[in-house]
Amino acid sequence: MEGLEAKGIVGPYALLGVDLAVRPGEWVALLGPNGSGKSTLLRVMAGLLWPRSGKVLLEGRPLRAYGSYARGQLLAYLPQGGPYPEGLLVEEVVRLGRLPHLGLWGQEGREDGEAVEWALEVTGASRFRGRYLGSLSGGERQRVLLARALAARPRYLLLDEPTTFLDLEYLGGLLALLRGLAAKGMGVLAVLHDPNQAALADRVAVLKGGRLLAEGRPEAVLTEPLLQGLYGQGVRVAHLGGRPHVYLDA
Amino acid sequence: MIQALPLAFRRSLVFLWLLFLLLLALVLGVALGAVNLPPGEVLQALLGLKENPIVTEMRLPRVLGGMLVGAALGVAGASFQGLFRNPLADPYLMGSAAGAAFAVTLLASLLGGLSPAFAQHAIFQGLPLSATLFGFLGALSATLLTLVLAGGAARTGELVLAGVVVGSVLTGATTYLMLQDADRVRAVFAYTLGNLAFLGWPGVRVLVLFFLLALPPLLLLGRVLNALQLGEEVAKSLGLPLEGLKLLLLLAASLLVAAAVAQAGIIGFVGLITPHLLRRLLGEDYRLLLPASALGGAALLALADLLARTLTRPAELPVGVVTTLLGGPFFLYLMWRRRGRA
Repeated sequence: MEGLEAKGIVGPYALLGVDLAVRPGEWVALLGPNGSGKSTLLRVMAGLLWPRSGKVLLEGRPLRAYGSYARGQLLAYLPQGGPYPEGLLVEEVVRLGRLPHLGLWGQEGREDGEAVEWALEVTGASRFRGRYLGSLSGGERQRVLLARALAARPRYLLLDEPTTFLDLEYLGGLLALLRGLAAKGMGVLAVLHDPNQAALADRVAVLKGGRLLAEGRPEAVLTEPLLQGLYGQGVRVAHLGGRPHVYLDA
Repeated sequence: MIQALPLAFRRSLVFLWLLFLLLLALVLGVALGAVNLPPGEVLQALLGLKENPIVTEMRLPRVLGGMLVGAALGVAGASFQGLFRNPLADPYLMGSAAGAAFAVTLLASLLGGLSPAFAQHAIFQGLPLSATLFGFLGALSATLLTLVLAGGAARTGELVLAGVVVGSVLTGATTYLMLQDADRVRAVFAYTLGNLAFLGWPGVRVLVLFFLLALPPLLLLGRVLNALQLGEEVAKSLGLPLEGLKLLLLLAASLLVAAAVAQAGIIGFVGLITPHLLRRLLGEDYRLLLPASALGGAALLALADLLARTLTRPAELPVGVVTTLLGGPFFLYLMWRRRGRA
């Protein structure tokens, strides 16, 4: 069975029994109010937290059955914010993404170099490869951190709020990149807080109070009743070009 | 100006400069002291052309041992800072040096004498190795205690506060032990303040042994420390067996602290200042920062010892007093700069 699947995840923290899957070649957005358990679910699916009950399957095998390096080759995880090494060069940061393939003692080969180049290229980070991470703007830094995650050439990419603090120019680029990666066969699961960004995904899953509230194509999920239940009565949905657009009726 | 040069060249330049500084410290350290020796005489003695016990039996082991102590503190400081992702983590500030000193003093007093500072007394010729191992347990326990009290290493203020508390209590306990042997208080006091005056060849041999044991894993794990700077979750998601690696790093760094403290007492701030200065020149790549901190710590402590020996000639200052007088203001500067940024 292809895909990364969470089945009946209960605990840790808020999760009360969640099923969610991401298949190769699709981009899934995970939406929900603060405290709904989105980030926790993402960590569980990345193998960083173990649930009290339920299981995570990667290509049909339990995630626990994989060695840590094998898991790192298949799954890349990008947390929200978090510490970042100000004093490392961009290229060195991206190279760290090859660790799952190299292990502790491996020497970088041609394949590793190519993966790093590709990751720098697709994220548009190559032009500041020789700069220190601390000298970049928030948007530039986010590209580098994403390049680090991509450098492993993972089959599944798990992102926690990758669009926070991004200006529109980079936001468009990032969302297009996610679509492109999915088109090339990668499974992308991104926690998002903006329903309008989620509307661009192949599929949207909505989490509330530790349970999956709805899941499906954006136009089927992002409806006025559902969003009002999540965010309050002032939320309206318009349809432009067949896609839901969410706004506040102030 | 140096910023305009290509990065690889700039980095090589830093290492060359460190090696030059080290060589300078070696020559000056052997030549200068209570009695100044002419360079020709020093060279002849070093090359074995002419017998000079001041050079070969007193100053050379002191300078080389001091360099090893400085290197140990520099590497341990850089490792702690990388491991705990905290720029103020340091063997001195985290209480681990005080832990090692307490354990060493305790062992010595249990054995009927006092600290291994008396390695110069024949009775202690055999002690340094066991003292270092005992000091290792002390350093490790104090570090863990500091981490527990601080609730982890993430919050800088808590970490420094807990380290100071642990360090003060252990230093108090060490002082209590010292006072049990009033005849030797003066000498032991000089030892706990940080002193290279007691270093002889046996001490140097112990330092070399512990270096060979602890340095390779630290140098080889530079990349792990780099990955840790991305946060523990990311490091784990990259497949690194993090719990084991963190323990290995902690053990190796504590071993270096213990080796340094057992031979030279508590020498503050070398572990803090060295990596900080080098970070400005080399960035934060621990594959470079760790070896550079070894060279830089060695040069820094050897030069500080030179000051300790010559400032108040013919009397000597404990080198720990010199490093604290230089390092204290630097620490305040770091705190001030961090506050400015926050």
